Amino acid sequence: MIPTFKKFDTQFNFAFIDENTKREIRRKLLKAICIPGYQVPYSSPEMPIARGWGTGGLHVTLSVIGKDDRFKIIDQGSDASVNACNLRDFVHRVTHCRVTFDTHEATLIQTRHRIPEEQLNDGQILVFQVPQPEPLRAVERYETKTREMHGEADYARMWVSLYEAFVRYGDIMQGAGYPVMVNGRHIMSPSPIPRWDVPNLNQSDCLYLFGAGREKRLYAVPPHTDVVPLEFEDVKFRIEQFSGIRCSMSGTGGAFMDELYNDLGDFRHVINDSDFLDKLVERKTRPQQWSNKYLQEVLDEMNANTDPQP
Amino acid sequence: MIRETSYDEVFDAQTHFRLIMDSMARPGKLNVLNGVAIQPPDSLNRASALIGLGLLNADVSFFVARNATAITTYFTVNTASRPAPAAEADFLFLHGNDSPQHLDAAKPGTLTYPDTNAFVIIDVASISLHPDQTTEPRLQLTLSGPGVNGQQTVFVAGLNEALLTTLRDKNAEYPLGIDTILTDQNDQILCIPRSNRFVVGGL
Repeated sequence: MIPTFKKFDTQFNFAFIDENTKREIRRKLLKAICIPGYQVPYSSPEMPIARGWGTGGLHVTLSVIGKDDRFKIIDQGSDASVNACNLRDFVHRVTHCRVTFDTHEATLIQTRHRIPEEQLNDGQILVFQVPQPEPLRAVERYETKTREMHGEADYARMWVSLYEAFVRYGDIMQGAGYPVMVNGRHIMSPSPIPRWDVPNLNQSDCLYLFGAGREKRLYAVPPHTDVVPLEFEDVKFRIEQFSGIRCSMSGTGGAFMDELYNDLGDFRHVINDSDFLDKLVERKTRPQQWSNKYLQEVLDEMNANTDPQP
Repeated sequence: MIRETSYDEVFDAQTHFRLIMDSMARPGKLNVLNGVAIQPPDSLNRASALIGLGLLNADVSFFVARNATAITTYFTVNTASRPAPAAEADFLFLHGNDSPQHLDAAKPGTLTYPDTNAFVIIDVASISLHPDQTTEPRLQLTLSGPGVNGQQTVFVAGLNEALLTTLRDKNAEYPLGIDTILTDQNDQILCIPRSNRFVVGGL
């Protein structure tokens, strides 16, 4: 039994951040939802961890979390990595709210660089920790200029950089943080999620909130919003294929894979999302995954190549 | 002058914010703000008062159109926010039957910082998802855009159509615009973010 949080029993406010700052972040979150993909500047107050280690995600999480929330946090798909464990302990200590590993059960999920493999529903909020919110930073170093470019929807240089990448390397090279067009107006960095996750931002049921603590920016993608990866007519966006690759623990595919190396230099593949893998291995059920055409192609190919097991 | 002592600025504000955010992320979804025995002045819906108590603080300013003295005192005392003219205020509290002059004056933001616009909270008589609940004349609003799965129709009573015309003009140059929250006398809220388009039909 987890004790409920009682005001004045602790030396800090509920959810650590003071109420004035929470209000400021909440107002900015509402603005972010009203202009999908636009980066709203905010105060980014001091936290007990350094900026750039997940403070933006924490600011958003702690401003929206309530006593009844069930909180889950993942770091690169894993509930058990260092960043996830420490931030989970912190959020639990300052709110006493329930924490869970189960993606389906959670109401509020903070994530570093992955979207869970299991489809999220309309009662859930996914909070991203974002290192670099500005998709145009690679082509324009000054914030005043990129603000104008966003204001005027002047994205010519972004398109040119994608074209140049294709000319030089034969493909658009962004692996993580592939730029997307939101609501047909703003180009947005989806945070360094793999391409595999990018289509799941489009027309989802859940609300996506993004917090960049070091860069002091918040942005959002509301449910049922058009999110389109940048692509050319003849050079299309593709996701990672993992062709013919099976997870060494669950024996299945159709999910984003990690390569695990041993001391001899050999490697094996394991499904990256730890909760998804747990459900496959322990409960022998495959949770409801997202539906998008890119994933469907991968699943179709996997099912076509499956040999009948003896 | 009423000091709200039953309002919990930690947990009530959080609960109400989540409902406002839910409505803002899903325009056309009605949520009910209540659970607190507050005593707002006349001409201010309870849900509007709760939005003010939940989001205002000393960093922002507000403008009140009707019963201005009492409501201004109410918000100043309870939130430490400060009154400002309609053209400078961050939050405008309007009434559904007002003429559109104050809404017309509200800040739409700038192209480099479209987030410097104003929130407008409009008190109306009733909001419902079904046409058959009221006998008063009402407007049929069909919303579409981010947050709406296809289209969503709502029925609003006690709202001057000129306000909606002005709102559409203000929101024509997206990403500039006004983010609107309608509140009714049954404590329900309906959000119309500037990203959404709406069609008005009489009934």
